[in-house]
Amino acid sequence: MGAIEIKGLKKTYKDVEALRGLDLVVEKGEVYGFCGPNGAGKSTTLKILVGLVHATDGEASIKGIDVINDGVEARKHIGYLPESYGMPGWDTPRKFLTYMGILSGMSKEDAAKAIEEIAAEINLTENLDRRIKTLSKGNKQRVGIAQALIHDPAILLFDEPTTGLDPIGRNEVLDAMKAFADKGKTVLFSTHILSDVEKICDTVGIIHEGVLMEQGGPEELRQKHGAKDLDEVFLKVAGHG
Amino acid sequence: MNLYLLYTDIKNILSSKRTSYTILIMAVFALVFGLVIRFSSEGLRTALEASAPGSAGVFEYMWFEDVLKFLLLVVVSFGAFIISDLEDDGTLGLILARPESRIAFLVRRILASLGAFFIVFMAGAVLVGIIAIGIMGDLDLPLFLLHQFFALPLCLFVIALAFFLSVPLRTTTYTVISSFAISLILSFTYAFSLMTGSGTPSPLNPLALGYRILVNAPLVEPMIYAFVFSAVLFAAGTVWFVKKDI
Amino acid sequence: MDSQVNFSAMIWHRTFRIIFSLRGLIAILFSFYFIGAIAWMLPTITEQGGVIAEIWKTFSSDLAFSWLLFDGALSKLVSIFIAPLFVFDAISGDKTGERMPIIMSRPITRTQYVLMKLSSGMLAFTLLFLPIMGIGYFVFSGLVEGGLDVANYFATCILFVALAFFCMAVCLLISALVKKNLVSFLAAFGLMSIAMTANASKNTSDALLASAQLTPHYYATYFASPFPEPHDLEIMPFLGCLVVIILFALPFLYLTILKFKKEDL
Repeated sequence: MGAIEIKGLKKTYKDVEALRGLDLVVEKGEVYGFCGPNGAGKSTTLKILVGLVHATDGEASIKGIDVINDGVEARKHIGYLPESYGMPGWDTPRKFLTYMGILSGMSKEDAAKAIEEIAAEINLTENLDRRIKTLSKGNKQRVGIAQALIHDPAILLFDEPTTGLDPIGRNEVLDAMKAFADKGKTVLFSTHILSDVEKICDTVGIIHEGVLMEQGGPEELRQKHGAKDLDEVFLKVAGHG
Repeated sequence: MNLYLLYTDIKNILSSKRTSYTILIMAVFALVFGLVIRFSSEGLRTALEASAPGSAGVFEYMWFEDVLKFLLLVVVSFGAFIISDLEDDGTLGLILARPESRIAFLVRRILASLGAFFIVFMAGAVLVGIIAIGIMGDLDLPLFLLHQFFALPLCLFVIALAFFLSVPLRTTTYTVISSFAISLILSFTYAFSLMTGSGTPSPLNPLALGYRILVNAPLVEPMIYAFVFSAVLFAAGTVWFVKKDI
Repeated sequence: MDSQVNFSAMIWHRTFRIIFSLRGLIAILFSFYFIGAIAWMLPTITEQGGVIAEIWKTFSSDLAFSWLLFDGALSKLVSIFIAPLFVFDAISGDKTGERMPIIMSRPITRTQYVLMKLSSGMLAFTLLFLPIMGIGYFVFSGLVEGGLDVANYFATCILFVALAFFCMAVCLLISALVKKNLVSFLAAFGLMSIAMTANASKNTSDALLASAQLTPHYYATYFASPFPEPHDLEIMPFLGCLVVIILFALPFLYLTILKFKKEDL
């Protein structure tokens, strides 16, 4: 049983078919890079897993728990970082993360302990007690990652986690995701920055127009398509190469 | 000042949903209160006519004493939107990066907001007058419109207050709520002072201008105070905005 | 992690955020202003002519004061301003602030989310309203001839808490339907203004009285108003009024949950 399993997932928004029968399996402890052009259905897939969007058809499960019919139970095991999100500017990361911990079922004391541990891990300790609105984009992203980790979930779903970060910030996020996987967590992240994928992913899935077109390890895909890098594979699969 | 930009700003405000909502709300209130007066018992009309001071009819009395308090919620939005809507949609930084001083930018926005408000308010007043005549049959429309015109300094003060509060509060919603709350308190203060028999309200309270119009009290002094307070609030808000980091 | 969501902790957390925020400050300032203003007016208002003085002459001081405070002032203040203030952006705020994905990725159901918003708004209101009204009782008792009937006063306060529940249920539905906070507040304010108009004019005609009886405001002021006739406080009518007000609110709460459950976020 994979950590994340998706079968025949469909989603139609009014006239737009965002997903047209997506099949995907992510194994436990894997770092899975979910790539595709804009509008391919990456964010929609993650949102269905998290219960933000209702699937039109199909099945999806997290650790064997059906996300569609038992979403609450599934979300106990998920840490989610959306592509764009807001945080209360006047709060400090500590206050905000405490609230997120409580929302995830933690006690205030457990949340406080977890905050210190996570902050040390992702270099956030210095900024824990500054107002969020005064933080740089990189530090805000750290807070975003921290809220996904606070309740120690087994599965991490990150939607374009490195977009807008400088090279140092991007490296730090990628290293962190790799470290989470090394600790046994399963990481599924969507991106269109394929160099990020090449750096840390065990498996790459390329989605285009709502369907998974290609899946495999980075090296495996390069060899299969005779490409020098994943950018070329991506372009070929998306029909532009 | 770039007059074309000023014209564009006024046009944008006039074509916004805010304008149509303002006129709609004025019309709905006119309809509701007109119907209440029209279909109320003889006792209520008599009581209202006894309360309605001066030469104002019952409708105008209710308009100034009841409806205007609710309308302030819409009036404050014209002040709040001078800078808040640009902050809300994130374009303030882009606009201030243009080769225009902050003072020139603010003066333009303030004039645009006031100009647009004047047009909307008077147009709404015409519609209200027509509705009132349609429901009740008796309203001196030119006099009613003149009275609305004299009430403009009251609205100017409320807009200035909202603008002043929008500088520190930044979000439109809290600016509107805070300025509305303060305006209501000022409205209630003069109403309560009337209930205790203190005579005509103090000219220092701009929110009492509507009542003073009803009772044919002297208007010059309270109008001057309203203009002065408005100017102080606009100036203070401008200085604050010019100095702050965006 | 395998744990139950701490629902009460969530509610308390949000309740204190509301109380110790600008809106809590506005609610407190407004409430104290009203208590101060009424206390200041009371000695002279009954001497002046007009409707208030007439009512003071016709009914007992206690009942006349209750009418002035609850029917005249609070039913308007609570329903059109204070209650909407606490929940107008409960749902729309999380949407516009892009916090919805982060919050709803937690192991809470959509129903729990809506109930949490309503409960924290209600708790914040109750924690502010009842103590302030308690202070008001002591202030007003000394000013009203013969004092105030404590049971009637606090029973009406409880009915007003129920009235706030109704107003908040309506405002929560509006917040779920609209995208922008300001529009949510304006819509809530406008709707509540219209809803309370009938009760505010119930003494003027039979038609308006009949309309008032279709609003929860009428039942909230049942024991505080001499119109259409005074009612003595009794347990069964009191419970009846409480139940009626709550029943008014439930359809709106149900619709909010239904709307929010179906939505893609």
